[in-house]
Amino acid sequence: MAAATDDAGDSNEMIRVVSSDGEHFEMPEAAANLSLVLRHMIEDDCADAAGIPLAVVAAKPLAKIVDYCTKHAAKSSGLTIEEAEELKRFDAEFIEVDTDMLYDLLVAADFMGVEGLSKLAVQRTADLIKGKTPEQNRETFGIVNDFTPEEEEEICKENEWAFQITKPPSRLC
Amino acid sequence: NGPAASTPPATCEIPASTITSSGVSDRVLYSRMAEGKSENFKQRLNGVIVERKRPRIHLSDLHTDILSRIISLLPLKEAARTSVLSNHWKNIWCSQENLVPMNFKGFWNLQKLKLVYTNVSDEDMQTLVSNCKFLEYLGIINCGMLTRLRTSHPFNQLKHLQVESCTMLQEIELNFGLTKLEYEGPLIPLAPPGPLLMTNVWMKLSDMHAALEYIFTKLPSTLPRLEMLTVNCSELKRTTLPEKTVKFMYLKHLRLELTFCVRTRKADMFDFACLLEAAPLLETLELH
Repeated sequence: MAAATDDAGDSNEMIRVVSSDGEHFEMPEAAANLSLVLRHMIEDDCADAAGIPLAVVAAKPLAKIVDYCTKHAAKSSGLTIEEAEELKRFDAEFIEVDTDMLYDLLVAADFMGVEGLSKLAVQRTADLIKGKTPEQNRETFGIVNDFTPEEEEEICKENEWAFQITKPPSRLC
Repeated sequence: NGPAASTPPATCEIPASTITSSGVSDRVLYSRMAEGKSENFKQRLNGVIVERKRPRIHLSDLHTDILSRIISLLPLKEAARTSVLSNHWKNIWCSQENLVPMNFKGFWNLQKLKLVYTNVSDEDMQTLVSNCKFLEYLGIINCGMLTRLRTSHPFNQLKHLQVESCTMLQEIELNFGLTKLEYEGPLIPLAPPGPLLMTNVWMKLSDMHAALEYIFTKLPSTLPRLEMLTVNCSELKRTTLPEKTVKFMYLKHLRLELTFCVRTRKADMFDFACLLEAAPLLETLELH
């Protein structure tokens, strides 16, 4: 594959990676360097034509991660305000994924050591939790409630301040 | 450009057991295996593709570090509310260390703050105290990480400080406006910025020392305005004071809750005669 897109790194080399389910992907070295794990592998000369095997990252999330790293590596230093804005928009759109993909990205970004993506996914998860009832959060994230009703009530009581809903000031009628 | 191939087959997830030796961390392995146990996965193994109704993801399977990071981004109230989700989430919340969020601007109207069994670091405590400008009461109980407590911050309104069972605590730096101190633990240095206006002190000292001697020789110079003093401690020997000690000139009420460790010896009123000398205006003396 030609290195036409490689306008960021000082090397024109493309790095090949292989997903857990055997799919091959390519990205510029500068993009791969955003992953701590890949960077170490490249430094140790482990990046060969066969590709670096990523045994726990499936093709679907890996395709996303390659996208993310390629975009971010191409626009890494000396950003103009417009470019920074564009990158922000890219991130916002990029992370608009279903919870399954979000989970895969959380695990994969943590495993591959892609700090920016890890932050993005963690923030997105926090945003999804925000403003929901515990029951809604259990449903969204597949959390099994293993408390007895008594235990649950006890926790609510202990953290009463957190469960209180601030009422709007009542008006005198 | 872009990925060489981007359309993975829908049903070919390889289970974690095929992982090669390329430096897979246990945590990811664990997550994947936990996922493998899920109902959906079994259905796919049997070659039946069923439309999923429940989410496949189980956020609880994520490594504690990631969950902890997620919680730390939530507003404090919402973060606390995650403790009711399940036992696992409760444990994550309870072991949360960075309770003071980034860009913490303080609780502007907070007057009373009590921390019980809280892993709060010296720095976080400092940030809390210096950012809650209207704090009048601060209670710190069983906070095992704390080694040095500083309440001496300018503009500090703190009047009542309560410290109990903080085993690692080695020093407390008091603030100027403090009027009441309750302290339970071993005898540790109380470093004041200068003479204090404090009027009420309650102390339960856990180590066996000549606590009374210490109190009556060291404290009058820093607590000249003390009016009420309660001391609960064990005494091994009769208290003796050097003759020219600085006195508690305002002390009106002294309450001693003493345990004598030597059985053969009974409390003798004369044991405390020297204390009366050190507090010439004493009105009430209670002995328990």
